[in-house]
Amino acid sequence: MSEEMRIIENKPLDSVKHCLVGMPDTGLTGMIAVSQIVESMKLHEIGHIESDLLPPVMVIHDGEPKLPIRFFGDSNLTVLTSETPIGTRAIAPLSRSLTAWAVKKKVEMLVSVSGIAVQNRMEIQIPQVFGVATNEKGKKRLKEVEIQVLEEGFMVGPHAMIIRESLSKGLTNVVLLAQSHSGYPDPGAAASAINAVNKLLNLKVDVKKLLEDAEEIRVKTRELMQRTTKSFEGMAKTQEQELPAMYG
Amino acid sequence: MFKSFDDIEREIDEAFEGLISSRPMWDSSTGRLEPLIQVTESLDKIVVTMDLPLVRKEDIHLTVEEKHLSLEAPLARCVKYARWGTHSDCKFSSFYTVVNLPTRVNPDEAKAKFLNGVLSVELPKTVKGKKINVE
Repeated sequence: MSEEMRIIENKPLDSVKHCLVGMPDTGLTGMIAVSQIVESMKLHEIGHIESDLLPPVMVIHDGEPKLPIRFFGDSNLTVLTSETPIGTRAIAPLSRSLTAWAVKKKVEMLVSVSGIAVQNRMEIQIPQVFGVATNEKGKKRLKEVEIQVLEEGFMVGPHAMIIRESLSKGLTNVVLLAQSHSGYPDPGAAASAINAVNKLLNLKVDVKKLLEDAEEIRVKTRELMQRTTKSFEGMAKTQEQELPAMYG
Repeated sequence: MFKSFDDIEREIDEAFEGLISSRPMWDSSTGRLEPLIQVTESLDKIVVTMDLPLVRKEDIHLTVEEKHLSLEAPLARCVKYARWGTHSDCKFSSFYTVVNLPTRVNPDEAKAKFLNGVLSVELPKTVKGKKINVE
């Protein structure tokens, strides 16, 4: 495990079946989706990540100081999320540590949830979700649950580095990408992403409350969205919206 | 080569935008929130989009001048931050912003639409590129 990133478990788990990751990224889609899953399934906090590479930020909840990147759940489903954007310097060490931890915990499937920016998002009522898998097991599962595979494109950010590390470690990593606004919080995209997670991991998380609260969530996550957009500047995030060079 | 006044004005605006992005997007004394904004520029127009959740189309007050766009829009209901920081009961009731445009536009030809809580304003540029014949 990378010494630069320390995963601290309050009570170490022997194994973890599924691990779900949602960081501040395009449309805050992944973060909103996994936060809703944590709330809906009433998952308890089980650990956090410490590192000098992370911003000097602590968050206060119910009077308790907390690290911004925390784990929730149990040995069946563990969820990792962050309340602050992951800076460019921290992405690679975090991805190395997370995937090493997942291998150690014998994780069957590491699922990253994120958004993929689409120019006409304003006109889309129900965003579509695309999947990318690191191996045949992941691809087979995407096919079984009828999630369309992303055939061509670029991925930039934490989920891209988690894919790279999963490939090198032989870990099954599936990335779910919901069509999202690029710079606005997108609870609608998060709802589509949750529905895809439900199918992929056989969960039953209801998105009704998320959709009812969508406008208030959009108001209350403006500043995190702005900070996240700012953090994209150091990682060529706009490449995700470029047309790939294709030959033949 | 000397910079044009428009270039100098644009650099000042960009520096100002940098300062703006590091300050809070709210003012509890007026109950105003600042919306998230994206500005894109093409050859002949500037498109400004804003995320305006909890806003009704008929309540949007939008004005455009050659170099600025102003928006004020009340929220359909107040947004409260009951336990945030040192503010015991923080309430917000409207969005307000003034956007500095990167170049001059023709306000008479501006078009706006509001769909799913996102406002999009198309602003044709005043000075368009001169067509050059290719030999």
